[in-house]
Amino acid sequence: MVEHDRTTLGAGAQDNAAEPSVEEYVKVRGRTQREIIWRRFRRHRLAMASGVFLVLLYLAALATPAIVPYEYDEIDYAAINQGPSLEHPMGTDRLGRDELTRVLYGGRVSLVVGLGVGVFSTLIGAAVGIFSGYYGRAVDTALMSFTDFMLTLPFIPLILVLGSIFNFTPASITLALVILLWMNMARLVRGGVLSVREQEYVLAARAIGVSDSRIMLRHVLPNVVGVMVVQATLTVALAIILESTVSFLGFGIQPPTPSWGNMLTDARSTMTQQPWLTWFPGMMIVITALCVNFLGDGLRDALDPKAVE
Amino acid sequence: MLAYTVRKFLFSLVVLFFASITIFGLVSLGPDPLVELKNNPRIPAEDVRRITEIYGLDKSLPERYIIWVGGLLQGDLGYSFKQQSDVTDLIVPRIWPTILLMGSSLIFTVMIAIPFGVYSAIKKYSLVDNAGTFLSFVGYSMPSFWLGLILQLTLGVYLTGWAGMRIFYTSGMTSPGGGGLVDLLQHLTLPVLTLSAISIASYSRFQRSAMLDVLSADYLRTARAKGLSRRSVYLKHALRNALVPVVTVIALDMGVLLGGAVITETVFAWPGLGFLLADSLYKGDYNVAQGLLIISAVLIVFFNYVADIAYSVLDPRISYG
Amino acid sequence: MAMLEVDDLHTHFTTPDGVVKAVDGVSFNLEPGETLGIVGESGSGKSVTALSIMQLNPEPPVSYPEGEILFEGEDLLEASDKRMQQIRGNEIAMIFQDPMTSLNPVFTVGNQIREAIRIHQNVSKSEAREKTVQVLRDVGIANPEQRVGEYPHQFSGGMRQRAMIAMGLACNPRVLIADEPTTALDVTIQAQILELMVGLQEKYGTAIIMITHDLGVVAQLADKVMVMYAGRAVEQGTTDEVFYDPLMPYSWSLLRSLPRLDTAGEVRLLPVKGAPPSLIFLPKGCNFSPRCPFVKDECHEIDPDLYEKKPNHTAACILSVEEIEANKHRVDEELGVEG
Repeated sequence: MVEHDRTTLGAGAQDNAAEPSVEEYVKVRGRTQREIIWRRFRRHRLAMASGVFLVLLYLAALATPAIVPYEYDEIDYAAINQGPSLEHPMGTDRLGRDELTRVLYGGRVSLVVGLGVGVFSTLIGAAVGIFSGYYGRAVDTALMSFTDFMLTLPFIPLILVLGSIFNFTPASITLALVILLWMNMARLVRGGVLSVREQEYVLAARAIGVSDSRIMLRHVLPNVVGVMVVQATLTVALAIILESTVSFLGFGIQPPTPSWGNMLTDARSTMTQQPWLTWFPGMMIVITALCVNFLGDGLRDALDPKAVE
Repeated sequence: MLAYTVRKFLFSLVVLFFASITIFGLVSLGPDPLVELKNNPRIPAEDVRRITEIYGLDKSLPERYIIWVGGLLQGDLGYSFKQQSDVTDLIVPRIWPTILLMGSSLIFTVMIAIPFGVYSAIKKYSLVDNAGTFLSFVGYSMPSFWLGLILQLTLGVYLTGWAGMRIFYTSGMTSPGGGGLVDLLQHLTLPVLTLSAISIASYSRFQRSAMLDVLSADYLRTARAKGLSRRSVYLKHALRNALVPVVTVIALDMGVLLGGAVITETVFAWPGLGFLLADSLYKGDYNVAQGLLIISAVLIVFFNYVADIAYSVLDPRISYG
Repeated sequence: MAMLEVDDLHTHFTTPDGVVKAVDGVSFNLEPGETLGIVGESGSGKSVTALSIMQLNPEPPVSYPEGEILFEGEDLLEASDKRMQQIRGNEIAMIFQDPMTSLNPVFTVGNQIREAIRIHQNVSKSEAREKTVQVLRDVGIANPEQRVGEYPHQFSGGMRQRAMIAMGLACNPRVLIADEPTTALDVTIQAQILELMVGLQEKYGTAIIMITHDLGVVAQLADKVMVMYAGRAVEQGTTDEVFYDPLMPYSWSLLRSLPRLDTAGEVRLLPVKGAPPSLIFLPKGCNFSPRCPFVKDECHEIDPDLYEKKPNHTAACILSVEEIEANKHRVDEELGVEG
């Protein structure tokens, strides 16, 4: 012990680097992963605001029947074709029905479809991606060929045709959109899995004999979660837009079930006379999709493992 | 290199094969194309039976599929009972309007998105860059049909009212009785703006990101060390590398552009293939829809192929892979 | 006046955390045909010094608050952008560490070398092509006529570095700055590249500034050496002087921390404890004092200049030559080093 002391360099030296200030010290202290992610996310104020707004929106969608000022079908001939006012913040349509109420009801369908598509396409895409990336070779080739094939199908024309043949309900349009949208998630997840698979800690786990499913769950999944979450938000935004588009053209959600899309079909015929009927449902689509995208962007920044503090 | 090209081509054919099966299968789930003829009391059953035989409509599904594909390979896209015409004849006159719309949109998009993306990367976090990022988000979040409606309202109706004369037309391709180039442009502008919006948002961000990657590369420093001016380094060394990913993205995106064209054409009553699709579906004419679907699939596969080849040409590291 | 005179160079970077004094008062000379080795750990400022000569440090954060860089009498720190473009690649050339990322992957090697020539010399395309082939041959690349049409990824690591050297020498510059040219290469290839550089220097008469952390490289190639630490030169002298008789404890520690074939197994190695200081918050007194094996109390108070300890051999240490020799002797005995 004594020998070591004498011969290591620095015998007699004192650590005399300038004393670090308190701020520097605090910066360096370690943090849990969750803390780091949450802190980074909070810095992204737009994403935070968007998150809050979306939560409120979904709560409103859930509580719609309880909170609407009027009934969905409440006809009021005295109030037809009115622009926005205090009694009717979004105006009324040609039957005097309150537009705000209708927008809220329409939102229920659009929001739920969007979320449903996001969740299920993520599940399917992630499953495909993880299996494909982890098992490799034949499984990978087969799954990826299928994925590539699905990607060559003409999206929008197909869903229009499907919508024309089968009348879409919120459930069935969710299914159709999921079938058309899982592929990008699969590819992204597969990419993430591939980069993790060759990491040493995975090889080590396999060498010890940890089962495949356990490895996938404990090692691989946490690493691709970041990518998945971001892509999921993109998918939700895209689904909301697609559903409204298809419904607008008449091949999606059919009246009388309201959706922002089919509300715009009606509104179109009186676009110049009652522009608010076109404006408000459309703005809701844009704002919702925008918030989802901002949220996704904030999550991306927060979850990026490569970002340096 | 040649082997690579050939291999990709064969693979494309296989993909098309499966796509055609899928399309055929899905459409066959639709209603019977002869249902109106059958319900029409004035058409004798004899005629209905004859038509059924001629077009092989009583045959099994696989047999009908083969007949259809056989026809496709000869350029025959089938017959539309609803519109009483060969599908091909319905399609052909609609080709040019769609090409015009998509082509103009593509040129417009590239001319704006690429320089903007490059500039945003070089002047990262500047006002222009941040504004661009925000606008891109808005672009991503906006349904194109709604943008079309708003443009019709504002730049079409309101602007005309304010200016006292018609500036942009909100539907159709030409004014009745034909019109010159100016008339065409007046009709073309709003649809092109609508179709391009999302693409501009997407490509400019992508180009920015590609350019940022390149800007941090070592070989740019080497180029400067040789005595090149900053400008030369950006335009010659950086751009050449930064354009590669964007070119492939554009080629791959063509497929999505087709879908976008369907929406835009329908909103603006632009007489192209997209409008034909929507119109046929409204009429319940699935033979036409089927023909358009297979054309879309062919185009998508074709552009994917082009993208692959382009990528390997532009990036010399790929050809040998 | 020397061909290249760096006089009290200061290179500062303004960062959100403070001003980083990457180069804090460095001076050295270079005569035609000479080779100067600049040695130091990562962060010692050696690359930044080189980039300062080339004026290639990133513009917004960098500033040169003091000092001059005189190349044939002209102060490069005052030179215009255009003038620097004329000088770069033409009179002063620089090659970098990783040849794979330093060459543009989408242009052929021939194209990139030709570019170097055509920027500075008014020659026809075919003349440039000929010169390119010739210079590739000079650096020992077989079959140069075929190689000019090939892409960087088709070259091996050693060949790429040869191509980089060719590109650097294409216009026959007075000075070639090589920033860790062999670090990314295999050991055997390293030796070949160094041999190549020696040969080329004889042939072209180029002065070389070799930047490296590898003392072996310096020993082979350099006439004189400058050891850098925390942005300053801490020892300067001929290679022999500095290697056999280091007068600054840091240089000496570096040498003692390297394994040697002739004493392997018999002599203990002496790793340098600690890490280099932050260039924003430098220690009080001597920069090396927190880690110095020969440290005295005064070291924490006095910030040493470069003192001329022996003729043409300077070291930044307040200890006298005798004190240093005594310290060296003491530790050598404990390590088991003879003589």
